[in-house]
Order: sequence, then C-alpha cells, then structure tokens
Amino acid sequence: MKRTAAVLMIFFLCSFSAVWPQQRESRVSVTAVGGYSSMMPLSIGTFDRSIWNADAGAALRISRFLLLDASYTYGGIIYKGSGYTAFSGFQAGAKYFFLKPRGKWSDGLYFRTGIFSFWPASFRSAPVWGFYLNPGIRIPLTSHISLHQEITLRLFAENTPAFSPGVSGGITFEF
Amino acid sequence: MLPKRSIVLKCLWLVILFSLGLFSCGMPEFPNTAELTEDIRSGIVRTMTEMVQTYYPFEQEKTGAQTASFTAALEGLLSDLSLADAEFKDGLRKAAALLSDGHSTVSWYPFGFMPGIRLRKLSGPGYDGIYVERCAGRPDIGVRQGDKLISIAGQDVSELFQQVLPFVYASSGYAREQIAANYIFSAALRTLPESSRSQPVYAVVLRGGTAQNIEITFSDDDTYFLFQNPYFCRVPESEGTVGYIYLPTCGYLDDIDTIDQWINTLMGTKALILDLRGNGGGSSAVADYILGRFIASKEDPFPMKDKAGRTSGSIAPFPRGEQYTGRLYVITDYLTFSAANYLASRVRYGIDTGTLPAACLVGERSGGGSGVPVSKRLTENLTFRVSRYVIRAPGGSSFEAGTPADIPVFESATPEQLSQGFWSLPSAGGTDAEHDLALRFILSEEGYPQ
Repeated sequence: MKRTAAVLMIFFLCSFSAVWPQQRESRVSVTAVGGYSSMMPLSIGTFDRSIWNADAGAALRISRFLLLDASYTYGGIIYKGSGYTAFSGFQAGAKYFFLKPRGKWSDGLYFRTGIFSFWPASFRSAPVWGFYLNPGIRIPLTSHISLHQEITLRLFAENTPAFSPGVSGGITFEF
Repeated sequence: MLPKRSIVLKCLWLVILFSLGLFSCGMPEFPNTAELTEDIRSGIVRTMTEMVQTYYPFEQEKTGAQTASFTAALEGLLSDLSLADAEFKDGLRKAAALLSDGHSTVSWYPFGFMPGIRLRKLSGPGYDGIYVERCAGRPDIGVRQGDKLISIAGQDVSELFQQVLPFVYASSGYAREQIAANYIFSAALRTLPESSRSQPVYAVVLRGGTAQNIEITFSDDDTYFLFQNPYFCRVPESEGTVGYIYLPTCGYLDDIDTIDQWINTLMGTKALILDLRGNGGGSSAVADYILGRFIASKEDPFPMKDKAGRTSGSIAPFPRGEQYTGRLYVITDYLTFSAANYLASRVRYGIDTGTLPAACLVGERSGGGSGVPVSKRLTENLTFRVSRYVIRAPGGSSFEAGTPADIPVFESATPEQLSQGFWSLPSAGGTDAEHDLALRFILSEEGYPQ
C-alpha cells in the first residue's frame, strides 16, 4: 500500500512540474516506462498479488491522431509472502489521441490499447498473454521530450485469467 | 540543440548498456576446471566452512556437534592427499549431511532412486528390513511387491544401506532412512564395473518366507512416480463426494491459479484431499495461497530467523476467494519437503490453534526442511547449499524435522500389506484407491467402505 502511494505521489508531482509548450507531431518516438499494478485472478475475485514493470519501446505516428507502438517489457509478479517471479515480454498496440489539438492540456489525452505477452520464470505454462486498455495523458516538457502517465487496465487471458489495474509513467523522446 | 541522430544513438547505447547490466548480474566466478587441484580443494573447504559459520541457523534445534563434525570432516578431506576427485566429492557430500539440515548439501549425486522401483524400510515386531513397495507394473523387472531384499549383486543389503546412509541429507532420521533405502540399487550398481552395469543384476530376496534367487533388469524409461503436472479428480466419480488434488511441486506459481479453479469446481464436495506426496517444495507462496482458500482470517505470521535470531521477514496465509468449508485431508510422505513441508506444518498449526478444525494430516511424518537456503557455486559443476534462515512458528519451534501425521498409515505399514498389494504412493489420477493406503483410510472415514 505504501509503495502504491509513493508511486502515485511521484506521478502527481510530475504532473505539476510539467509545462505545456507547443506539441510536436513527430514521426518516430522512443519511450521508457515504469509501472505498478495490482492483480486479481478472476477465479477468486480478490486482489492478491501485484506487478511491476519497466518498458522500453518505440512508436510510429501514422496519422495526426494515431500511433503504432511496441515495447519490450521486463518486470515481476509479486506474491504476498515470499513469492516472486520475474518476467520479460512485449507489448504491441496503438495509441489514439481522441481530441483535436486546441493548445490546452487536454490535447494530450489518449487511449492506448493492444496485446501483451510475458514469459514468467516460475510459471508452468509460458507465456501468459492478454489485452490492455490504458487511458493516459501526454505532458510535453520540451519540444522533444514529454512525460506520459497512464492508468493501466490489463486483462490476462487463458490459464491465468486475471484483471490488473494500475498506473504507469514514462518519458518519451520525439524525433 | 543535439542533432536527431545523436539522440537516437545515445538512446540505443542506453538500451545496450541496460541489457548488458541485466545479463552480467549473474555472471559466475568459479574455477573453470574439471580437475580438483589442491588449491581448488582448499578453496572449496574454506568456502563451505565460511558459509556454515556465517549462515547455519539451527543453533536452537541442533546440539552444536553437527557443525563441529562438519568442520572436522572437511579438514580430514584436505589432509588426505590420496583422494581421487570422486572420493573427495563423496567426502564433501557426507560432510554436508553431518549438518542434519534438510537443505544443506553439495550438488554431487553418487546415488539416486532407481527408476520404476520404490523401496521402503519397514521396522516392527518380527520384521525389519528393506522391502519392495512397488515396481511400477513391471513383472519382468524381477522383484515383486512385498519382497524383502537380502542381497544385490553379491552384496549384503544391510551393508549397502549403511554405506549410503551417510550420504543422505535430511533433518529427521526417519526421512534419512527411507531415502537411503531407495538408494540401495544404485549403490549396488556403483560397485560394479561400468561395462557390466547394463547387464542383469542377481539378487536374493525373501518372498513368502523363502529365500529366492532372482535376476533384476532396469530401464531408464520407467518412471512412474514423478508426475510433472498437478491433477484433480473426484473420488469416487459422483457429485457431493470427495475431491482430490495432487500437487507434485510448489515450484510453479501459476499452479496457484489452476488449483484455485479446481477448488472452485470441488466446492460441492464434502471433503477434499490435498496430496503432497513426493512434493519436494518450491515457493512458500504456493503453500500460503492454497491454504488461503481454507482459512477464515489471516493466520499468525511465521518469522524467518537468521543465525543470530534476527527476523528477516515473515510469511503467512491470508483468506482468498470463496472458502472451502468441507473437511480437508492432507497426505504427506517422507518426500514432502521444504515449501510442501511448510504447507503441512501450517495445517498442523491450524489444527492445533483451531483455525483449521476440519483438517487432518494422513500418511507419515513429512520430510522436513524449514530452512530458506542460499547457494554458492564452488566449481564449474559443484554447488554448496546451506540454510540461511529458518522459518519458525510463533513460540520459536520449527518444523525442520518434519510434521507428524495425525493418521500415520504409511509408518505403520507391514510387509503383509505390501504383499497384499497396498502401497503409500500416489497413483495415476488418484483413482486407484483400492491399493492406496491413504486413500483407503480417508474414503473409509468418509463413509465409503473399502
């Protein structure tokens, strides 16, 4: 709980430190992201474990509103007590800016959706995979650099059906 | 302003350096040699001694003689320069076993369980010896269930037993003896020339009160007791009866989700059997998460204590999902070890404190091992593992020497029972209740006459 509060506080402070310079519509961008989320197996309906992840990815703008992105993910699933398994994998999907640019903070609102696949080390059936739908906001710091903050909503499929809500934040370099 | 290409290159370098950092964290530092020179042997002994002096946390359970004999045995190995490498490793293995710790050992395996055969040491009024418990449905293998082994390849079985006993690491004498009994065949084979090991082995057994000469052949393919996946079923196959879950390992965290789904399916049963036979452990989280389906409130934490008595975290089950309210039977045997032993000890604690009033342990004393180990690689293919913390119940006791069963059906097994076809092993699908001593007892308790 303390860890979650600390992560939320960092994102909160980052929001205030951000300014709103003119946003670019760059063709290519690279991103580094960190996230933390809770996990509720659908079979029991209780949040009983959590996930941290660090991603490195790239995005390609294909229209004014739409970007395709993919990232490599490294992280871990933390079980209460002594259970922990590291994983690596990827995420791939699209990011959609649904508002027309009006020079306001709301220009940065977007949805990011796609699929993910993780290979956890201590799992019998690897990989696990699922879908994500992350509402987020892009906060430009300079013309080349922006912060991204998202609410992450993951749905694990198949052998480990689970719902995993959380938060993530990252920094993007645009070219 | 930096040019775009420069920024891209810097980002790429960051990714490469990050990746190198990740992969180099676990780079080993150990002698890359097949031969154990005097310097390497000295380094091995020094490292093992230091690790035990630093970590070994069982001052409360043990007398102190264990560490003293361990150190003396290691020093003895160094002083004997005539030892071949294999003999030196034998010595390391035996020295580690002197610690009487369920986890402390050297990764050197001179003996092993013989595929397709399970033996059991039985002691009681009028009988004492090593008996064939099961031979995996292979009539061609030579031995029969219930045979008492007298000699193998011309070697007396009781002498072979005494030879292998010092190699077995275990914290309880009971588990040590049962494991040693199963090393008998490999011990006999080890004394034969390598060229003749694939040939039939001649043995003398006591069958029906008569000594018989038999010929034994082995096949490496014949493994029947190492189930790779957990499974569940109903025993017998009808609604509202007894559910059965076999958990062969706690090594896979996603088995938690599989078993959660099975428990949901078995909610309508009046009793559930959790079979931990042969479970060598893994993560204590698997134990805690499964037990979370059977308890109404968070259990007392078990602290992990180091050598100095300092606490390094604690573990406890907590309620998860819909609770199973029927009777819970947990089957354990001498191979129920480490995290599985922790699960059994938690059930024992729940029975004693009243938080698991409908639970019952059936089978025999579990294998033990309540330590949390740390490992260090000594050479290219030799690792030493020693307990670093010990998990203790509130009050300070540990379950290092195993958890006793409420109903010790395996410990009280007799040669006659084995001859009649009963065994203590989990059978495929858990449905062969006719021959399974534990399932027979449980089903009888639940009103299904056998």
